Amino acid sequence: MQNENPTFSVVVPAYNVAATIHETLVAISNQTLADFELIVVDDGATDSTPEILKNYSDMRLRVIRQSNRGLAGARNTGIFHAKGKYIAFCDADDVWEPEKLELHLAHFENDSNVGISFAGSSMVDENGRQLKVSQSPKLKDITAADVFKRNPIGNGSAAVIRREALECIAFRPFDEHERDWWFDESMRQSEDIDAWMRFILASDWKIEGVPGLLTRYRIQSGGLSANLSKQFETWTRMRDKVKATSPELAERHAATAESYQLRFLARRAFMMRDGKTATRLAFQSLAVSRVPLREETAKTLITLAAALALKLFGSAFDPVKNLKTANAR
Amino acid sequence: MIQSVVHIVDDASWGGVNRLLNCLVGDNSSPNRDQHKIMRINRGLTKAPQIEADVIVSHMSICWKNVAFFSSLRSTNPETPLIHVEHSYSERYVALKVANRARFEDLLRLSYALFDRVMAVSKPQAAWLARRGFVQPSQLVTISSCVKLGSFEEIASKKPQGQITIGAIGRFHEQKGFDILVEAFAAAAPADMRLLLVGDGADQTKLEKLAQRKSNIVFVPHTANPAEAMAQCDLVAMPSRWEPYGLVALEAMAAQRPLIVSNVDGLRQHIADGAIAVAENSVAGWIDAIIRLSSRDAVEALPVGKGAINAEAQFIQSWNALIESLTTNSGKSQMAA
Repeated sequence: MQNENPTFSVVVPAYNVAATIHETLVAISNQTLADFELIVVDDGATDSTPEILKNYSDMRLRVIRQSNRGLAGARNTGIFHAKGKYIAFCDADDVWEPEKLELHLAHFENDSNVGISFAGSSMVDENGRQLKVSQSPKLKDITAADVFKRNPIGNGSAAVIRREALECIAFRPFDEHERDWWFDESMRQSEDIDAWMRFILASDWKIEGVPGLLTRYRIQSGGLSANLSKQFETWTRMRDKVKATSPELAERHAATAESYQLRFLARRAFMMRDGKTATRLAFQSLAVSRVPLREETAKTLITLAAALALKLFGSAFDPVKNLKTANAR
Repeated sequence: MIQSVVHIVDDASWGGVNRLLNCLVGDNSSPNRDQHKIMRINRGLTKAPQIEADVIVSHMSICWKNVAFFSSLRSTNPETPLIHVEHSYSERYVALKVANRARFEDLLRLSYALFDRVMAVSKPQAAWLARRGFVQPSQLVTISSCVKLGSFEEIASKKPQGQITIGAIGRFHEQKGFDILVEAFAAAAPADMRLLLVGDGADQTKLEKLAQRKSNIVFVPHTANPAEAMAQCDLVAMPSRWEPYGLVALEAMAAQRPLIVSNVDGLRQHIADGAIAVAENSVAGWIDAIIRLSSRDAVEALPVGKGAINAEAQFIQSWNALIESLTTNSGKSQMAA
């Protein structure tokens, strides 16, 4: 029986995630707050994801299959079908702590002006082993500049959104005849930060965090560092949208935000053990703006030093150990 | 009973409010039974005069400088119903321009509390004022702004021939977002398409620079008859960054011009009435729109909004009903309670 008025809709985009999705679903099923519908959008998976979903037993699960539209397109389909008062996203390789939904509900009910509630994340490696790093962002008084520079929401499994508030970022491209877009499906990266920036520049709903590390966020150390330049390119598209919406904000913070983004990419290159790319990006970050050096001196210097060390000493150097004194993003 | 209604305006709002009142007064064939008059208030005045009126309507902007004036207006005219019309603020305005939110919200709550009614100029603005609790439900009224539309209706069947002209009409100010449109047009529009920018304002030089001396981007100043400029346009673009209502949209619909707007604030009401939303209010988003509209067939296939149908009559009726509700005995005793 379907719940017609669930408190939460949990949306899980799933594309070829056979290795991890079961653990993700179990963590959702085991939430201390039980009043939710679970919408998994099978985004045209070609592995055994559909079988895993078929065999997963939870009355609250609905599977929607579509031909591949990418992460943003899968989330949008989930939103389109969602009936909950709040919509929570969880990527199919991340794992929630049991109290996550309960804590966000308390947060929303405590302050009716909160539009997006999020929390920090601990980090795990591919095998689910806890790393010593975490995402512990700023939680309160979050401004557009904070989101632009540091994206406190952090990852795709942290945010829970009040349905009513989400409508402020709905739009319909000319060629789309089926449903609205909330996340921009023409972006294959940076779709999160893009949506959060549009949200905070479109509304006076608050983006606010609750204390605690409520998601175990899986760091993928694989991947090609060649993709990082593409990722940067998508980020600049987001920046250009911000420029159009708020010239003032862009004028004041675009260089700093770019510098932080390059530093973030330098750290990604580092995780991929590409010392050369990491070093290049870290220096590029410094060249664009000195503000991160002033605002986050230790982390900026550590990024640079670690990148250089990896470049000079190669894989004899253990990346994770050297990152543990600072946040991963 | 004939009521006398005094509208107080400051210099900044005079032009727009004047057009609004012209519409409110009605015309010879159907005059409004109430008497509406304008009173201009000098900026920076802190003491309000005693005003002989059955209802006083403020069109002044809410700001800390005006708080003293508003409280003086309230105390000097304790028995007269006071209405504030919110022409300035909207949710997007707050999101983009207000750094100190808590202080701004205090200002709104404090100022609105001095009035018997606060009037939203569009449904989306009303929804925002209500949701945030800036205005109590019993205090909030919504009357979409209006101006005389006759001169626009007259040009409805007179469409330009030949090259396609997109019109952008309004103040040259960050709010209107014409910079986004000009940049997109300069980058992507075919040479036989024309962008007509009608207006003036502080950003004129900036816009001219973005236009890169392209001969198909034309600037013309406002004229006494705004329908004249509209007559030269095939369609109207409104790339506003924020917009409590957006009168130009209503005028475009009266003139049967298709209308492309950003999906913000009061413009959402016009979208509900048939305006077309640009997917993304950015240079890339408008380039996409311009390319799609570069043929006459494409422009002629566009729908025309229905927001202007009956708009004037509705506007006058709503105002009459509001004035009546505030001046009948039951209205007054309710306020006293």
